[in-house]
Amino acid sequence: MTNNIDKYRKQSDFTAPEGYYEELYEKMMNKIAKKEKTILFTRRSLLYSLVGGAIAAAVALLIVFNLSIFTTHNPQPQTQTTPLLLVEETRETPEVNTTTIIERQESAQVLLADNKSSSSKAEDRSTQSDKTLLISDNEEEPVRLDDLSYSVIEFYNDAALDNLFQETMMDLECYVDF
Amino acid sequence: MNNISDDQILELFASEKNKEKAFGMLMRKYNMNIYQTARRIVYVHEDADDITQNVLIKIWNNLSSFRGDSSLKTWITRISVNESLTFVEKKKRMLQLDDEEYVTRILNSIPDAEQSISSEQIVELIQKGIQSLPEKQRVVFTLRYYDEMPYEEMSKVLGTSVGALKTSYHFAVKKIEEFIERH
Repeated sequence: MTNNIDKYRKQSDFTAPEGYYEELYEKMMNKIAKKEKTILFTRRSLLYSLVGGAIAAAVALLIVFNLSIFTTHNPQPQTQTTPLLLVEETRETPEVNTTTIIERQESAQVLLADNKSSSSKAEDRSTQSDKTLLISDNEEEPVRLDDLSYSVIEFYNDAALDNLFQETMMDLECYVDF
Repeated sequence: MNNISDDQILELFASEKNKEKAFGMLMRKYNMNIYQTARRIVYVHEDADDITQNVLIKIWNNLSSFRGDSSLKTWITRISVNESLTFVEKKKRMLQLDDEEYVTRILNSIPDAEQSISSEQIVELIQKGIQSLPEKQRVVFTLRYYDEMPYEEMSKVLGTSVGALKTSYHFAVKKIEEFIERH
């Protein structure tokens, strides 16, 4: 038997189970098809992420750039429209009923809360007419209530006996003692 | 299908459209070689199947970078041998076995031959004898014995000198013959 293993050369090779190679072929073709799909999906995902990221970065840059330009050209941003109390009245014709007074009181309260920036612009306007009254909470510019007070007194004369007016004034805690 | 040349397969594989088709052709041509190379080294069919699949995946991933320094068959055989040896090393590590224990385990999994020896039993003994060889020697023996691979080509596959391969094969044959005599 020695030195004769050569004659068993072909015979002694291993045999695979029946149908193994066909099965292997199918299995591997499915495997690589899935692998290709995964690679394609991964590539697409990566591409979308990159494009999305680039767009987001570009938008962010644009916003920052615009903001910097805006602040450079507007060192003191005063975008708020200045609310003014413009009470145009004639002292000679104080034909205002109690409802009007209430409205004025409310307007006055609202406008007292306005920011300081409104004062300068309002003052400019007030100079245009001496009948224009400005009310502001600007500490540097004292609030001028003389004209308003005067108007209120005028109205009071007309409606002093009016119960509704009195009640309203009490509600507003605004007593005028004569 | 096996008549298709390696160059044709490579040409087809280069185009994205025909890649899968080319790989199918390659599988039809080399599946058996890959499986047999692995099976001769690891003996167990399931292990050889795992190795074959790993080798095919490696071929799929790397065929586009195949430079043609050697023949496609040599390249595939090299991958198969390396993958098989890596598999054996991993298995030994996983089972915490040294070389001798691993060989004993493999030999025990091969059914014993009957007392009156038939050619089938001799074949079994040869297979057992192969498994008793050290891994590198087993590779040299199987490539030469089954594939009749020229030593020059084997030298490219294993990165060993032709002289060393001849000596290794000679000792492998002696060991197997002694193994058969003992059993």
